[in-house]
Amino acid sequence: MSQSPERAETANTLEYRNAWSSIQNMIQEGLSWSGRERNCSFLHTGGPRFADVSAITGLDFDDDARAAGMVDWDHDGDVDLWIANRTGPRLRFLRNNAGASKGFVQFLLRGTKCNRDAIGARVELYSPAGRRIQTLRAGEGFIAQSSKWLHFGLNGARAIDKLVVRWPGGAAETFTGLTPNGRHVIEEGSGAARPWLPPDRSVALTPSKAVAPPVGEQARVLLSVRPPMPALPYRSFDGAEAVCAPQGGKAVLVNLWASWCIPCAKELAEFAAAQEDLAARGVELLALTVDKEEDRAKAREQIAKVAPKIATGIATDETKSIVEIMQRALIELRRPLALPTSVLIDSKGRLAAIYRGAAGIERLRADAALLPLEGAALRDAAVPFPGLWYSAPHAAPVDRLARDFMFFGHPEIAMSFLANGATSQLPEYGEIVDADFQTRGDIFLLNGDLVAGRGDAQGGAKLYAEAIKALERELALKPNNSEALHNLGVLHSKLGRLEEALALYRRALPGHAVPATVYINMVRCLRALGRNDEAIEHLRKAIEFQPRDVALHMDLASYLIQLRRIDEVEQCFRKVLEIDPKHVRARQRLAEFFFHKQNFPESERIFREALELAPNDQDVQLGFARVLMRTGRGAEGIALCEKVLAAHPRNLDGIIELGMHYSREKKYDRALGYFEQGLVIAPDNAALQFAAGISQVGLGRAEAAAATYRRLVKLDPKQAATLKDQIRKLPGGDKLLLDEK
Amino acid sequence: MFGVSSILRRGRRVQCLRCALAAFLAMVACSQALQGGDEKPLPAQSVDKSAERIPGGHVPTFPDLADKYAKLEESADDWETEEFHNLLKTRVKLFEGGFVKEDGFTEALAAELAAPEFASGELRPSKLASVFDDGVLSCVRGEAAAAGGAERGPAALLRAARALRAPFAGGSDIKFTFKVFQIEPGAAATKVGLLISAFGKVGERRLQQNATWQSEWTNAQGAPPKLLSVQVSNFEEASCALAGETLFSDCTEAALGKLDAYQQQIRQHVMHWMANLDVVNGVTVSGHKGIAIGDVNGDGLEDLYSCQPGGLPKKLFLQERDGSLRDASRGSGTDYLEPARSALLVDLDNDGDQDLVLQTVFHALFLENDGRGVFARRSSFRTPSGIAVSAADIDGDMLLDVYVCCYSSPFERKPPLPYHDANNGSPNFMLRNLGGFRFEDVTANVGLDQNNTRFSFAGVWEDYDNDGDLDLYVANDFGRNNLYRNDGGRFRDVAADAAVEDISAGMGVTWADYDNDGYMDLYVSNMFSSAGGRIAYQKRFQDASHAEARAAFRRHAKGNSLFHNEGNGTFADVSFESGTTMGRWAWGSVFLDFNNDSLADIFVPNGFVTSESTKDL
Repeated sequence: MSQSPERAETANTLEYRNAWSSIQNMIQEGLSWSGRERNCSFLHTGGPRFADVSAITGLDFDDDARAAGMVDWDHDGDVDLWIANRTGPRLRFLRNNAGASKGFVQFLLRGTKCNRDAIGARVELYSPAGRRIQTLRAGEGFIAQSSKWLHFGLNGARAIDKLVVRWPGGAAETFTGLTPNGRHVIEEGSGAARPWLPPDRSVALTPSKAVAPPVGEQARVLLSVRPPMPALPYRSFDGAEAVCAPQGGKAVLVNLWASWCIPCAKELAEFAAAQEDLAARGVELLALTVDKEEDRAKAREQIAKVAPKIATGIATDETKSIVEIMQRALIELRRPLALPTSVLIDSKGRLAAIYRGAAGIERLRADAALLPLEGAALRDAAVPFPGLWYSAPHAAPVDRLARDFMFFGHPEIAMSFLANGATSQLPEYGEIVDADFQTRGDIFLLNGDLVAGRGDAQGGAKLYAEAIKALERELALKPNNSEALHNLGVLHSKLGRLEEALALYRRALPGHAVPATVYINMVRCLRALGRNDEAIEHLRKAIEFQPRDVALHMDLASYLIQLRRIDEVEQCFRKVLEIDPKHVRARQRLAEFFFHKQNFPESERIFREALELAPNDQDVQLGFARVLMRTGRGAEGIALCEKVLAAHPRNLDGIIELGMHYSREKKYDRALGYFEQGLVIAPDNAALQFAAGISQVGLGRAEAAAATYRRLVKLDPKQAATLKDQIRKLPGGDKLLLDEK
Repeated sequence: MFGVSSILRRGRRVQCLRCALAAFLAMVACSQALQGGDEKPLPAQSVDKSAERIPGGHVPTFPDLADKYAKLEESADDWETEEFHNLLKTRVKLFEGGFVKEDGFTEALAAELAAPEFASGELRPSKLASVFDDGVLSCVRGEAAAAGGAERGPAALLRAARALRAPFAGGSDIKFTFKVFQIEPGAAATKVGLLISAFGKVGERRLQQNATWQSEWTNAQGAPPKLLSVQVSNFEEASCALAGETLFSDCTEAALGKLDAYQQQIRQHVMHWMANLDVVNGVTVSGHKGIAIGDVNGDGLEDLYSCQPGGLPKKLFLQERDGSLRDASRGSGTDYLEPARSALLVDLDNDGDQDLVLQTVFHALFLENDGRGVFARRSSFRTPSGIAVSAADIDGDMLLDVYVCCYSSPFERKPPLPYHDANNGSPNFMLRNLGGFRFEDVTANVGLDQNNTRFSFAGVWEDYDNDGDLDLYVANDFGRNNLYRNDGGRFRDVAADAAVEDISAGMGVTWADYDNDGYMDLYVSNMFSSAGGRIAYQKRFQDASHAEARAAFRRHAKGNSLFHNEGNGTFADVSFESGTTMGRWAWGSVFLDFNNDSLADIFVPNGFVTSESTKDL
């Protein structure tokens, strides 16, 4: 967490969030975090410093312990511990061996005017060992409640003077007649302690070492609610495309195997033997090999021998990916896909079970019997032990599935989970807990872009509308969800409703993780609305949030140039160079700025710096050439331009630069050569057409110039008019242009 | 079975990229829009084609884990101390290797560890004085003499190391552990702070040595560092003489072993259930499954209720006369399958039996005991992200009210912000008992809505100011805790004034008058992270942050806190001088008297997530 941000306002960055989600991912994928730590014990030594006795108390298990409950469980006069752990065994009982030799006394309080358990009572015990106080609490440490018997060690004291109880909300009451090594019930208002004896018992708790079984590689997960299984594509051994998507008929057990996997071969043989029996129970088998291309012949041969009647095929990357994403979304412990892995798809095309490792025929038979179950009955059957529920059955976690499929590159499958308004709603819980309308909105938005990108604008708009619906639902639940507000803005902006978009962006700003993004999208709207000054202001805001984002400074510069606010541009490039002194483009543009300001020495100096950084950069070379030509070093400039063109014959800027140079020198034939070369590359470039026409005029070629004019008039009537005036000055020019009409 | 993950993983990265690209396009990152159009006032236009664009919008991500995995190799994270730490560990491991073997300290080993100019005082003080001895547990301490004699180099180390090891002579099961809590690089040498602990069995005694070593090591480029000096402080040697036994014995099998519920359910690691249950059931990685102890059926024997992950029945275990447990879950009305986190056995209706408060992930359920251990669910209250419950009668109506701590998972869509002082968690609830198992939310009415959006783990009641009513201390993760002082039924958060904000990763709370001055003192579970300590001590850490924030970060890794109640409404932080900070990643620490000497000792359950993998985040 050394990267953790300091202030809340700027802290909410994607990077920081991603750090959390990747830590979560890593733990779910089975990594330790502060694991294998041993419980600690500190002994009060009578002085201010406790002694670390962790290793000699016998409490130093490395179980990821959470909660400790204190109780004299066995009535032997000392405090034993129940510990709840994360790793196995998840409960431990630790018997205290201190025993009663140093003396103890225990009290159970009975409230008559306060709560009957007398929770909150303060008791003071007076003995030769001194005054000791305790409070009766319910809930202490972490997620633990200890015994309500208050226990006092007596440190060898042979008598007890008195006990003073301050009942909650009541007065203090004194009790006497207490005996060491005794247990007493103390009833409020009774004035007398009542001795209490534990039931007759002979405790037999012998120590041993409790250990947990290792977490097995094999697993079987019965789905408590069956989510739709995406149609599973695969290929036949002959290469034909196929798809497994049961609809009515039988359930299908899809088995992934490989020829080199020994447990797979064993399981296939079992499948072959049980095939008819399973079919009778409504389960068909489909064995798909994950073998690489070169081993597939071998795999085909192998399965033909071992299980000749089983339907077979090849698992493609897509097949594996779908199975793995389903597994990842539906099982909390995220482990890589194993071999063999099987999935049981019920006759309605829903996923019923996932088997990591060999499924086992007996288990398959048992699970096949559960296939007809639905709803509450299915939920009861899918958990390993019976118990009660107070909530209605959960809906399939379609949002989680959609999210995972989206982020592992299957946006269309992701959307299929959300079709028909499916939700993960938990009605009993009184609110939608799992349904993630925000992610839903993102998925529709993404799919809308995909569809629109394929040229289906109408289909795209339909999905955008779905996205808007989802985000509006999200906002109904969480009105200030700034990311949802933002993405809703994006959608409105896509649909041309710029004012609405702007209003949403404005609302998104306060809590958004990346305010710069919101500002940038506002810039886009403002610009489209022609509100340029506001747009620039917002772009500067974006930069405030991401001051080191070079691209933003460059964007600002471009925008300013476009608005002819040239004087503000210098600062942009200077900022970029401050952040990244090696930024060639910024340096080049800064040099161009000085060129524009006709400060040629400064321009030259900066171009030289840029050239040092990027000696072969065409744009820098050309800019530098321009400076040379403008400052009386035409030959050098031309040579440099020609060098660029030799290396990059299609560099239009270079071509234009040379043409313009010769044109200025009135060497129109050479100029025209360059312009014609440029027009081969960009025939519709108005500036080139214009320049060519001017050169033709310079050479007195009225007819050619008139032809150029006819081309130019379609591209840029304004420039064409200028050319027309020039042609008119040529002998016969008027006539040529008249012909035009 | 064989993994085929590598193929898929590769594919996954490509897909991720594709997806990220698509998302990027979707979010209209705008800059493209700015780049278009006519802008030619400068000679020759060339837009920056390679500039990176900001991805926009909410993108719930599964970031590529490759670089995060890489960070597990400490040196890959560019903290210089972490590189040094890796080198250093190999050295201290050598020392450990010498320690655990009888006669393991050889001249060769000393030569490898110590620089020629090595000088040190004693590693085990020659003058040790008893600070505690109750016949079973004992503890001696002493100040180690500083470097004095003329002896230098490996020979000096050898002599000191052998003296340190001497009490373990002839022993078995000897272990030597160390934690590097501080590294300060210097021009001439690197200063290293080590916490040392050694233990083993010697005859009928169990022995433990603890010490802090301030050491100096050479800075040799590339070569392993060598010891230049060691200064020992806080040396203590504790022992337990109980016929070879530890003070506590693991009797889990005897208590639970005969039950199917133990063998099939309780004995299994949370990860087993994460792997074998549908995710909709709610088995989470954190493993916060609490317990409650009480006499459920009124037979005079204490019983145990155990919370369990979703999809597994909560367990009601009744105690038999022999101390073992009987599984009474089925038919008790308490074996719910929803994920549960904590429970209380308390008499909610004052009818003389122990009713049950069960905090699931979504609700506080209130169940009535019929007196024989059969429960009926009478009501529930929505308490989203609820974790821990505690009871107190806050309005003096004889009915126990219930406080629920709620915690928003940082792994969901709400990471704690800012990390060291997060204030964006779920609100806690004060539920007032109206009688008849009806409860109402009075959080705001009584003033417990102040500073109530933190990531709370535990709220524990105590009368800290001895004014006769119960106050409430709440431990919050990622930031400051609350001390709500009860002023006649109205609460006010006085944590700052009382100096118990304890900005860190608060996870558990316990109270006791450990110094017997008549005022309750406070112990708070936090996390001790030696890596955090090492990094937070570096100046480079959070260079740009305020000194205050830096200090808060540092505190986050410092460990548990012991606050001495000064009796005037304020507390003094005595964590370091009491030697109780190093509780590792601590959860439900409790004060208890281990040994009946009438003094409050401390037990610290700890450890966050252990898996089969040996890699640790």
